[in-house]
Amino acid sequence: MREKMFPRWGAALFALLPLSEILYCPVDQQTGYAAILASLITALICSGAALLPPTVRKLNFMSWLLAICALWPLIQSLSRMTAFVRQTVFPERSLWGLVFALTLSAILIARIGLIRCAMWSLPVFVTAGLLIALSGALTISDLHISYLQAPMWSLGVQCGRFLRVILPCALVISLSLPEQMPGAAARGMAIGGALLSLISLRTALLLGSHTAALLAYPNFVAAGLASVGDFARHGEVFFALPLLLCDLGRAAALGCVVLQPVRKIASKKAVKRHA
Amino acid sequence: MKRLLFALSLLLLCGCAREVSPVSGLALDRIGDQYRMTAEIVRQDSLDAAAAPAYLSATGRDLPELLRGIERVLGNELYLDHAQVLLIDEEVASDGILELADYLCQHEDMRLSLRIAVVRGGDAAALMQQDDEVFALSDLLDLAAEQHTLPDMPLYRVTEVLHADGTAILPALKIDEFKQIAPAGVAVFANEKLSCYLDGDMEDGLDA
Amino acid sequence: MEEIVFTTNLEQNIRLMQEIFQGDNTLVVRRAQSPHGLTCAAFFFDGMVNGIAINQSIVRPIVSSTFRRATAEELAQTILQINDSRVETDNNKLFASFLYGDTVIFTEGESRPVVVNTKGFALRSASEPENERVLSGPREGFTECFMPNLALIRRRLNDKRLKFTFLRIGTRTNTVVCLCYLDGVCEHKLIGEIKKRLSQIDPDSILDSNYLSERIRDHRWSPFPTMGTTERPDVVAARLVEGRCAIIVDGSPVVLTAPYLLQECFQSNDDYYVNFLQANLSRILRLTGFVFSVCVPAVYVALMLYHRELVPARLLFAVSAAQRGVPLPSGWETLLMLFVLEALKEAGARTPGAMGQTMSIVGGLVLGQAAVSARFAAAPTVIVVAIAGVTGLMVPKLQTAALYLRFGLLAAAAAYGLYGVGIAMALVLAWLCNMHSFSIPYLLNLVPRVGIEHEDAYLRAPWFFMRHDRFPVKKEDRHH
Repeated sequence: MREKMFPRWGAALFALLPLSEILYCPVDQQTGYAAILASLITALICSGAALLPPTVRKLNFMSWLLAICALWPLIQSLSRMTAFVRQTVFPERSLWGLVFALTLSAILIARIGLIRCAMWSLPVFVTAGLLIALSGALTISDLHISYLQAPMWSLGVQCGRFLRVILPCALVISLSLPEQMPGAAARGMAIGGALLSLISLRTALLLGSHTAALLAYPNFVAAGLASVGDFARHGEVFFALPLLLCDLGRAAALGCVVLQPVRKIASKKAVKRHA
Repeated sequence: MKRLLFALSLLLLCGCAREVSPVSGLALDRIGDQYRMTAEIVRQDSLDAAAAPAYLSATGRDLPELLRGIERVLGNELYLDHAQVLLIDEEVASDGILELADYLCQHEDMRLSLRIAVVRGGDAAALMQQDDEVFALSDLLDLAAEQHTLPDMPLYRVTEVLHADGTAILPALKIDEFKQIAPAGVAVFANEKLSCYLDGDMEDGLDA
Repeated sequence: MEEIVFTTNLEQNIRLMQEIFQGDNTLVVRRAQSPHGLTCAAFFFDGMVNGIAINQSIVRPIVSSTFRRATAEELAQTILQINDSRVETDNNKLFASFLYGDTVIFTEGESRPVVVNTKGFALRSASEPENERVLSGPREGFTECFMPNLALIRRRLNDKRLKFTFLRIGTRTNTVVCLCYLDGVCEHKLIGEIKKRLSQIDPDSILDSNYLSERIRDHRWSPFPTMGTTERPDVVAARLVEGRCAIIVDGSPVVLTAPYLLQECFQSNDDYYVNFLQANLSRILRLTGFVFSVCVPAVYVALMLYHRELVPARLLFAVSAAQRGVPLPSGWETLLMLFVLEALKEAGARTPGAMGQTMSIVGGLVLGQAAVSARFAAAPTVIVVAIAGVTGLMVPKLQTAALYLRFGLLAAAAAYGLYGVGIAMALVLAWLCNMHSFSIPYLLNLVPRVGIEHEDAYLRAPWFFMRHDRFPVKKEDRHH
């Protein structure tokens, strides 16, 4: 099969990064602004980084460096997913069983390679986006517009927090893509950031900042308040599921980056053996 | 040997029983220096029969202890996900409800859409046991909130306003002269404590 | 096998043939001699040939011939009055066509035999295939007979670029396999790839097209089909026009098409013969049906075991009342009922018609109603399994995949609830992203810039929107 990365796939892959923050980020009135700001900054930096000439990216040293840089966000993804699943549904399950299951899934997805990972992320992104939109639309009548605040300086702190999580991961992925895709990075980060910002705003307007501060996963809990009649009253699991997959996609993409130098060595050995 | 096998198979069968008895409502009263929690637990024995409530009570000093106590009485896991109403009596209300709201918000199983109501001049447990139809209370509160006859204050909103400035309004209920559950105006909280009631149609004036 | 050498002596040749086919009583030797002295012997197999053709086109011309002696060429071209006769020097080809119902004729003084096409055996008529019924549209289906199958395709595609390339595969069965494509529409690379794969296998026997497809398809371990199968000539014609390739195997009414993509599993030929509004509705139904069939048991088990808060309160009371007294936990119970469903399906497929009624009574009444009232299974479980079973029938091409996915997702649900189901589905999606059929991504509709394919992927555009040059002939792909 011919391997080609399409910008659409790349954009979807980048969009997963802000979306995967939705479950975990603390929310107050400034979060919405901070999220979009952080995403735009990341988009800018990643687009710049994507212009790095391919000769530099293909260096052995570079792929090792990226692999090492990818390790930390990878561990972060896996640990926060485990903590989330454990705290919300399976409090009495063994921690290591969950870690094992999630790591195994991430590795299985990572095995298909970064390009197919990006292809995979397109339907996942669409599903997550639709669900976020639906969840937002269902709670729109319960929102308190009076909770809305103008941007304040405190958003800088939050923005920094977002940047610390999103930027390294986005940068690593943008540098390990097989092609230069500045547009994809910019578009993906912008769309993902907009969704993250809107859903944080929804949570802040629905719960208020004080209630939101009490909760470990405010966006997740707020989604449970969306209901269609008596049905799907506590549907936060359905909301969380595609977002968890976004985080799994993030882990898988980083896993691809980690596996890249190992694969290079393996393929070189295979070539030698054939020769 | 046969008896042992029989016992073993019986044990296995018991272990696989999957009965759930969801809690539909809770009532909290203060009795002396202790609290008493009463839970309305719903049971339905067959497909054709109607769901019927059962009531379990436990006393204790704080909420975790109360919930554990009820769990012990039930002999099963207390299933709070479907709880929709929490009734508190006036004494609990005048002790301050911020801690209570915070605890409920952070409880994993409790829903943020839980409605809290104050029982005016009486026992919260008694009011809950007044009606043996499941979810009648929550339906009453939902409908009243929709029609704006009682304040629409689910748990998350109560918590928010209490944290913001310590004042909140909650729906109040009472048992009327016909032994029915009836709305009894609005309970006003100042500094997280029950301070006064506003009656029926005066609720609109409260915001002003 | 030692070399067979025919001589110029007719009697010797007859003896040689009888020796080769010793013990085969269907071999018939017909000697014919004309008053002028021309002596011939015709060999054929009883039951494989058209008797009238032999009488009128072989025996009669020889007997009434004025030749004293004839060469093989004279015999083939002048004496025999039949459409297809040739002098055959290649013994392999000779025996291949002889064994297939052709008549071999030796004449005195000539070592080279003449082969005459006299094939004629009982065939099934081209009736509508049982498992690909349509509401409207053509109703012809392929049969087990090779040449008429090709004719069914040719009749639909009157294009001089339609090519039928024959190969013989199978050391024992020596089966004729035909590679069929529209030259110039079908990519050159694809034809080369299929020919390469066909030449790389060396099977003993090919009795059905599945013998081939399991050997040459991509992702041989995947339950998702990567080669299409159909029994309908109109489907084959449509796929050829789209630039796909067809493989027709002698003796099998099932024709293979390649490449085959996931979206084709949800397509039915009906979709093109009825109004597009109706067609798209059915397609959406099929798609949701598949998702339901795969997910419903898993989601049910996940809800019952881990996510009871998602079930509306009043429904939960009813469900838990129904489950009271049922011995097995939800997961095992669903597994058991799914197993029963599969058993019923398997038994139904093999039951002779007369016993079908017994089957439906046993299946429907005993296993459904009685199992519930005996508290053997909960009513909701039976409903869920029934939904999975019925919706599973909507997409017949994916039945294998649906079966495996259903059990896989059920296990995931029993282990990790809805999160398990979601992650398992994500893994399946990753797997599908990784799959390809003859170098075409299996999820082609995720690939942008293939607008042509998108017109008819999971939804069908109305015919007046489909472009005429949907599958243009590429210059570099043209044969010279």
